[in-house]
Amino acid sequence: MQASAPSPSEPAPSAVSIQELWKHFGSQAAVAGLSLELPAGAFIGLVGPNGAGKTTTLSMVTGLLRPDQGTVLVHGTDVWADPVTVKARIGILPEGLRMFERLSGRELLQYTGRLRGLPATEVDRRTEELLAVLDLARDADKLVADYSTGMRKKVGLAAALLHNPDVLFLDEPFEGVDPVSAQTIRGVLKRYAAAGSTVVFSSHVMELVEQLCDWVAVVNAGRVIAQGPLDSVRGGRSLHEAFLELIGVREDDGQALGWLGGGHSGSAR
Amino acid sequence: MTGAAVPDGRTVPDGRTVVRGLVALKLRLLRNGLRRSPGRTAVYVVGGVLGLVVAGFTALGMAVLNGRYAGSGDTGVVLLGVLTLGWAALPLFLFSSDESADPTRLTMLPLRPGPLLRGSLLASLIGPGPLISLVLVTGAVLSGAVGGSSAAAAVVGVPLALLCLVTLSRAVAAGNARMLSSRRGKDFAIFGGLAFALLVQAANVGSQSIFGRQHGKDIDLSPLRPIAAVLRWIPPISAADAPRTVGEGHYAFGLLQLAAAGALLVLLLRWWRGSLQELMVTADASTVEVARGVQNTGGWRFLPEGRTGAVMQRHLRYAWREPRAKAALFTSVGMTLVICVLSVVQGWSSVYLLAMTGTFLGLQMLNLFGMDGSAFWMVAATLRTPADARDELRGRAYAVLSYAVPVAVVLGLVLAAVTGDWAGLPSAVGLAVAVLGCGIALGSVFSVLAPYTMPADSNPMRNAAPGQGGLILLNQFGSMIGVAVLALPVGGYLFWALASDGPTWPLLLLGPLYGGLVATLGIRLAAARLLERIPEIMAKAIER
Repeated sequence: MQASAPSPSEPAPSAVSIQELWKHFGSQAAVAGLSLELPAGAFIGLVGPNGAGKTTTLSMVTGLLRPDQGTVLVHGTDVWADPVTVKARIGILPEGLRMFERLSGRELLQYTGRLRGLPATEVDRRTEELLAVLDLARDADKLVADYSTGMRKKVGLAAALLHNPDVLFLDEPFEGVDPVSAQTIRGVLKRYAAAGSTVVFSSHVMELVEQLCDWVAVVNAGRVIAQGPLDSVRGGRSLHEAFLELIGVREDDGQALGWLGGGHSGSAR
Repeated sequence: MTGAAVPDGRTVPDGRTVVRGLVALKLRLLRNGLRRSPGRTAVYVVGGVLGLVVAGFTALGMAVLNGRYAGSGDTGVVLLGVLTLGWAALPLFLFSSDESADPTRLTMLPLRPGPLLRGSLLASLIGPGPLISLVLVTGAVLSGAVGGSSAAAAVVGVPLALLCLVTLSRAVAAGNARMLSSRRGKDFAIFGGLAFALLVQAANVGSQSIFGRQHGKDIDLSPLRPIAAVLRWIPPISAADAPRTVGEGHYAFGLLQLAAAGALLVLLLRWWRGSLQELMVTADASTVEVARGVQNTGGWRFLPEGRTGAVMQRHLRYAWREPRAKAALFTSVGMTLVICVLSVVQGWSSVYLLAMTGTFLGLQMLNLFGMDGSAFWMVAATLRTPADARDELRGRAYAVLSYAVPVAVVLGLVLAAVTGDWAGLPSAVGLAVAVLGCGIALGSVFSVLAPYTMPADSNPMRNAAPGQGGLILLNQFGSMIGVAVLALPVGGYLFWALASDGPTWPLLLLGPLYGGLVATLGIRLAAARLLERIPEIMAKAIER
């Protein structure tokens, strides 16, 4: 299923093409036959409840986790036929952010650049610019071990952007991040996407996805249950409402927990 | 260099860049690790220098043995056997502290396996460990070398042996990385660590029986001969023995020994490479490991009602489920066992060694709240009255007693059976319980007055966050010495009874009575301060 180079006649070539992706952990299918076409140049949100398979999918798409079955093409290159070539052209901000804790932020970026084969002067130039834009310049010489969550995400993002990738994959980039850092990250992502690159990020904060993305895929129980441009997926409602309806969440009728609240007396000593 | 256009970072980097990058990374990580605290730098430098000096003297000693004593080459072979075991076991203890050995941090980068392997191998040769090993391997070769042909074989043998050792360690680490970073793996590491400690003790006893038995100036190396006869054919030990074999004129055998080590190196590199590739494309242990629900057993019904029972239950569950608590408990029991076994082997055993059980298991009461870590707020939020505080401490004391007393009784029976001193058993058990009571009292007081921070990562082999050395010393030695002082009345009585043939059996009653009294007093004292010191303890219990 090797996709040919995008011809000018096709209006929206796929940046990422996922076909029938499967992954089992034990007897449980984390990803169950997931197929998805992500348009190039779009700002894409991957939404779904916890345990829906977002992280597993992103890991398999970025060459970090071997799928049981299925193919993933990134700009026409099969990820699992040649993961190294694909990794050279994408940027990844994985969940958990395993980084070399005992490097400073600046050193981490410099080594990432060197290990990606960039010339030293170019690495230094890009590193300083990224540190400045991401508001990390003041803390650039502190060890990553001493960074806060927001700073870790920012330095991880810088490492993912250093080689100017074609597609950027971010797993929950805003989780645990303070509003100031979140704003900075948003600014950088918007600028990156505006230049025609593709951003794919997973989140369960619907408001954020609504503000940033122009294309959304909803994942539940390892499958895609809705995909398309933001407006077509939410269909006149807020994304939050559309999401809950798609997932099929029912309101709690309040029968249980009858003892909760209203008690001002009789507390046990 | 390729003639392609200037790399823009979107092509796969060439091998040399990757290798150089990985080596530089290792150097930088080493330097930054030291930069964090001057104390750590000092420990690292002193430890490294000390290791080198010891290794240097060992090597020198072995070189001196050569030619003077028959079978001097056997010492080198045995030393290398120990060294190999050490390198193979190293990942068990150090995996989570050596970042450069963790390839999962490089998964995002476009690295081909070849350069990744070469770079990692070169990087792992940097550091004091390989240097010390180089000195030791050289010493091992010198112990048996004869003449110029030995030197020629050594030029190949020494680097080959060193490469094998380092690769072995890395391959074991990579091959078991998922297992070692999982919860179950950490449990396994505890037992591995204990087994290793026992092995070291066995080696210690062995070397003492060889070198301690010297009559006049003669060292009898003959007990090593049968061991060495087998070991010298096992790679990578064979590489260090090859110079001796060649020096003695057996060229074919020497070559065979070198070839065996070379073959091992190739196999290890293949295994390592396979593991590296596998590691980079498989899920983290936390995902793969199918988390089983815990069994709900009914045995807890016998616990006391209320807070005391709840605390006891939690403490016991943690002793089994949490790697750090488990490691602490099993180290205590393990240390007691090691000393008991040693005493039996070396013939100075006594049923009164049982007092150690009390001392070591009493240590379980140390730093109770520091062990709770970030969960301490759940304790703090529910402590309202002095009675709560008392129940909290009492529950933990009961938990410790619930395993310490059975361990003491069983071990007492074993010791009595081995030494034949059944008459001493009742008093020994009494003494152990008295000592345990003193340990509980002091542990409670120290837990409240001098808690210390545990590291946030759950490596069971590290028992405190950096910079807490003083507090730990205060806790451990304060408690050991304090217990000895507090137990004086009971110990004094025993001493009197043994010296003047008085009855020892009353200790079976006196010991628990005295221990119980001291423990109750200690808990009361600690509970009184616990409530007012909650904020201070909280600040210590939670790292940063």
